[in-house]
Amino acid sequence: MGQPDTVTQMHDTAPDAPRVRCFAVKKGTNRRPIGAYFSQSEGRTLTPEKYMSCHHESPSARHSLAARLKEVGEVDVADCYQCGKCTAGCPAAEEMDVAPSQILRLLQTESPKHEKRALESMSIWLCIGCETCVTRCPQEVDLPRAMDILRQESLARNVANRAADDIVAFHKAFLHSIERSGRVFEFGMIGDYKLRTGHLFQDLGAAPSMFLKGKMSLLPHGGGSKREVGRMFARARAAKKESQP
Amino acid sequence: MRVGYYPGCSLTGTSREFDESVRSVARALEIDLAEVPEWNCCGSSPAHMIDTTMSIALPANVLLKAKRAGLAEVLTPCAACYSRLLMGKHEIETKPATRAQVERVLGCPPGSLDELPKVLNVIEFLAQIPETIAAKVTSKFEHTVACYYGCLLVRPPKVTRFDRTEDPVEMDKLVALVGGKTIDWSFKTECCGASFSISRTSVVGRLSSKIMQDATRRHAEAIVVSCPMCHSNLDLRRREINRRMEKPTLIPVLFITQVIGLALGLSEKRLGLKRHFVPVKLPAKTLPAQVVS
Amino acid sequence: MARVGVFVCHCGENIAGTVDVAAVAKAALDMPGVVHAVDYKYMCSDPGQTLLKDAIKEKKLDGVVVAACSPRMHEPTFRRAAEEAGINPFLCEMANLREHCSWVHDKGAATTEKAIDLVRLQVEKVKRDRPLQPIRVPITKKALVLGGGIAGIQAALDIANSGNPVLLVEKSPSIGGHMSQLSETFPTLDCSQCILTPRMVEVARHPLITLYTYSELEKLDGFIGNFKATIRRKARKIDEKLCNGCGVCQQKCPVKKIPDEFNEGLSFRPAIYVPFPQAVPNKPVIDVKNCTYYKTGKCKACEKLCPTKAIRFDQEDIVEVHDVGAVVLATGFKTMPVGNFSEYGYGKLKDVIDGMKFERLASASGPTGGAIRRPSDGKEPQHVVFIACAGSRDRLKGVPYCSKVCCMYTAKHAMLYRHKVHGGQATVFYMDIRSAGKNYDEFVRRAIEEDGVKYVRGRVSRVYEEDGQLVVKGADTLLGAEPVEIRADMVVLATAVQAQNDAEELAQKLHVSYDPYKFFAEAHPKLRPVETNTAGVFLAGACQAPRDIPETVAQASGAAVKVAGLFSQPTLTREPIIAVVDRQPPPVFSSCVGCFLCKSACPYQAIEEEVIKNRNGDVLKVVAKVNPGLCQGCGTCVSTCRTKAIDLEGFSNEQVFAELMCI
Ligand SMILES: Cc1cc2nc3c(=O)[nH]c(=O)nc-3n(C[C@H](O)[C@H](O)[C@H](O)COP(=O)(O)OP(=O)(O)OC[C@H]3O[C@@H](n4cnc5c(N)ncnc54)[C@H](O)[C@@H]3O)c2cc1C
Ligand code: SF4
Ligand code: SF4
Ligand code: SF4
Ligand code: SF4
Repeated sequence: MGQPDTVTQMHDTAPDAPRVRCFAVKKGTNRRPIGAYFSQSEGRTLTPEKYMSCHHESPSARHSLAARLKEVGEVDVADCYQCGKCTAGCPAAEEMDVAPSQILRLLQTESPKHEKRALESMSIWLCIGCETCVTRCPQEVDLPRAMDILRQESLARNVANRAADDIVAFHKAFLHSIERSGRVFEFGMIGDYKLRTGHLFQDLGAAPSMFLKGKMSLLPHGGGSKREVGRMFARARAAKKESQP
Repeated sequence: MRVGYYPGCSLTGTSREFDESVRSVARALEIDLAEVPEWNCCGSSPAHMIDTTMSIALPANVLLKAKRAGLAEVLTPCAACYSRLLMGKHEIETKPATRAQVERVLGCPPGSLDELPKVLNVIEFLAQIPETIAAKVTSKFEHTVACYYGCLLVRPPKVTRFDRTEDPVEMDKLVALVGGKTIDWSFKTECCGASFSISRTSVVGRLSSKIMQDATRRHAEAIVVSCPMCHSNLDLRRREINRRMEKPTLIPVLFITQVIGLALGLSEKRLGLKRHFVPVKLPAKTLPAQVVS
Repeated sequence: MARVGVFVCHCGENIAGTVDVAAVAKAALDMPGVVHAVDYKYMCSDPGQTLLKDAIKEKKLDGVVVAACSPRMHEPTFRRAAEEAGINPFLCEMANLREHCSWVHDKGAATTEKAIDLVRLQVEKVKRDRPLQPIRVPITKKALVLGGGIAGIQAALDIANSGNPVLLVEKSPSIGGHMSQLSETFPTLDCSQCILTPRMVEVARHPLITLYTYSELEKLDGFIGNFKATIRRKARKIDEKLCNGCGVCQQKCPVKKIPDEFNEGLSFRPAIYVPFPQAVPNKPVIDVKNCTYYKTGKCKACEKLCPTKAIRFDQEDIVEVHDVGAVVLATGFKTMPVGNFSEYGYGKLKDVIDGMKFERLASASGPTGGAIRRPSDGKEPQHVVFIACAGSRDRLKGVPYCSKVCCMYTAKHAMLYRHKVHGGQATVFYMDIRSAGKNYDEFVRRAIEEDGVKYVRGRVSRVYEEDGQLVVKGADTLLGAEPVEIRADMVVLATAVQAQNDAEELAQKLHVSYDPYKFFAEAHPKLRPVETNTAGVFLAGACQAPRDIPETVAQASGAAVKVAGLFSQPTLTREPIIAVVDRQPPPVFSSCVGCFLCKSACPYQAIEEEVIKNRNGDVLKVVAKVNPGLCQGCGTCVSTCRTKAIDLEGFSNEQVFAELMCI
């Protein structure tokens, strides 16, 4: 008003300014700890981390699945519009008991009741990981990543849907095969899977011709990475144990 | 020309013909494939599904071995392996905490995971040498085919390098390069059911039949893929697919390297064409010669 | 010895809630030169100002610091009060305790300490202030309006009707903008052309409006009241005075297949053309890029057949400079191209169209005469899907903001379709329905309740073609996100409203700021919505943000009032915060050594060369001189001057250093 129009004033609305403002709005506060003013080293720019520290979260929110997703997977369920575009394009949605977008809705409420429903759903096991959803999501919500974390959480809490037993068994058999032989040995793996699930006759149609076509070998594939990979699995397991006493 | 080569488990088993055709084509193009020594499985979707740490550590180990063998680039024909290797590398490059964790699992000194080799899929790789390929074409691939890219080559677009996520054209260009024609269709990147091949065959049947339906409706003589999972879903699961089709179809599913191999005049045997469940019978030349040029 | 007074404002709870104002006033009393310090609830109130005036008189103050809000808010208030009390207004300074302190920090001792620092700075500054006199400059009472859409038309008419001449510059061959392409307009469904064309004609006839179509602004120099606008009038290749608009040339031109911009490519036009029948001016232009003569050197069919001999193949662009006192920016918007939507077919599917194309299909003057026909095969579509928020509220592939007009025009489109195709089905996929506005929500309800448009809450994931139909895959999020698959004959995307492609370039030419999406920025989002940060440049319509017609017109009239208000003053008063170059008695004349680094640094071309001669006319020295009319007081020259010969009035080096040294 009283000031002349100067070039310096243009920086008031320089292209990056509103971004910071949006951020402040999003995180629910525009206050900055006074420390930022006095401490020289912190400078003038506000890093997200610093922001988080001055944003007071309720204690219950801190332990929610939503918080965990944000922490380990950088997936912020609050970003989701509930527009359903992910569900609309999901190849597995038809089979799912809870639509992918609804999984996120269940996490948005941060209520234990809803979180339980997400962890016990079949959907987390039916997600193929095809990444169609995140390729189209207007808010870039990494749903497949959320599904990964939910699956692992569901296994850790031992609440995985029983109807998914066979899928879990398949994944376990597969990883087991890698752990033992460094590579996947189909015959052994499928055998393991069948033992774990009792689906002894499934796929009987295809198997004989697979042998005939030379597609399935009876002996484990070569390769000397066997022991090394076994050790990797062991170290990963040890690290996991350490982190959750 | 020498390039690192990571066949991955499928190419040593269920998709042996992909491996055979890659190697034969490479030989014909005078490319030396240096297999990553003592490679291990990339972890595929199971690791990705239930063990995040291993889903990064396993590919990291492969790339570390390639790096130690002095390979700057690793050709990874299998789309699933390619995706895992690329994603693993991306995670390591963008997240320092993940990198440290993986270094511990691998038991390698810090810094070992710097500058891992570049991961190339077979389409990217061949697209780099169009002149070499064109020069060696002996019998043009005069067929109209549908190029099917699937999920893992193109998604997520932030990490993969395809610029048209929903309508990629790189494979179509390769087919055109060896004299073929490709159809413009709607299912290039729709999911086929991928890793549910064994545990949820019905899902695969439903999804793959839609893909088959669109390709046949638009008169494709074959489907061309670059992923062993797509191949086995569309080929091995054909009975499941045909059960859901208005009209059962017997159009074959070829790997892109088999298409190129045929144009280079390589034998059916060397390209592993006999290993398919749906027999590879392509109609006699359908294109008038001038269209090809 | 200075006699400074400090007045600390509580601003209700705004400052006092966080800062210990009494402590600030107390600390101020200890600052050297301060003879008076108080705190008060509202300094800007009448009693607050009286407090200030009385203190100046009683304590014989020669400098005042008001520690309150931003100077942008109340500096004029307090300076006026100081002047009324008998001191030079420029001896009054403000310390911003609100925006710079209380609003951004939590309550605490450190916050109060910062407030004291801010006051100390201003005390040091005010002690070194010199009395200054405002600068008076003349005003050129003629306005430049850029853009001839409804915003520019309205602004031009209102300014001209207030008795001031206007130069209206439009880039395309005709005025009218997007509104001329619309079929019917929400919320009343009146025909767009019918309400617009009378205004277009009025513009053409108005004695005070000079209309330059097919013209663009090249450069804008000067400052409020005294701009110099350089305009390029592109060659139409016809003599407008001779052409009587008979249209023979258009009929005879052998080039027929140029996609018609006005009809959004749904029809074709010749190389010599009038964009639409009601165009103003109704004179053709030759599209040089597509004209056979310019391509091959042969043809000239139009020239041969033109009855008035108006064709001028050798016509060149004309560049003119105009003096204007104010500028109204009204350059409008564009919509996101359909090719941007990978999941909706990259623009390859002919029957996936955008809202603007639908307007042309539904328009009685359009290529189908108002019948809804799909572009691929001309069939009447039996099921049309409308996709809202296409590219809007999509930070991945589009823009994160809401485009504001599309909810309403989508309801309009669905409604028009239902009126025109009996038995046709219309489905709208939406995320939220944004219909705040007089009679707006009623309009949307009418589409749903009376016209049977089906609204499905969900974003569409994919559209692909199958057997000549479009398969639309969406989800109904109100049914637990149940997947919905519709086989439609045509899909209409409500594409995002975006800033024009050349918006950034234009903003830089005019020195106005813009937001991250290249929409021009208003000076204050609430209180100064039609002004820009550059004095004398105003905004109207969709170049500032997505707007519908009622808002655009209201804003255009607002901008016109601002211009008329400016022109009603005899002269302009400007703040004397400008740079001055040192002057000394001979033989030195000035500490300026004439390097003129400042001249190249000044963004406003305000530095001139002054030649100092002796009586014989011999040049003694060439030194810099600041043109007070052009200088904006930005200080760039001050920092470039090697000999420190330039200083900024009101912000001298001495003052700034004193401020820095005191903390
Ligand atoms: C599909 C659709 C349907 C709509 N339906 C309705 C409706 O029913 N009711 C309603 O109220 N609103 C509707 N709107 C909104 C309406 O179109 C806008 O509110 C209105 O057009 C804005 O007018 P404007 O003058 O600001 O911009 P524009 O109409 O875009 O006009 C800008 C003018 O400036 C010119 N120009 C651009 N750059 C320059 C330059 N550098 N120099 C000189 N000239 C330049 C352009 O050529 C153009 O003539 C609709 C919008 C769309 C997209
Ligand atoms: S597409 Fe994205 S924003 Fe929409 S519902 Fe799914 S996750 Fe949420
Ligand atoms: S990644 Fe999972 S949730 Fe996302 S679209 Fe694919 S299957 Fe559905
Ligand atoms: S000279 Fe150009 S504009 Fe005139 S008739 Fe020929 S092609 Fe058309
Ligand atoms: S106005 Fe409606 S359709 Fe347009 S962006 Fe906003 S919410 Fe979406």
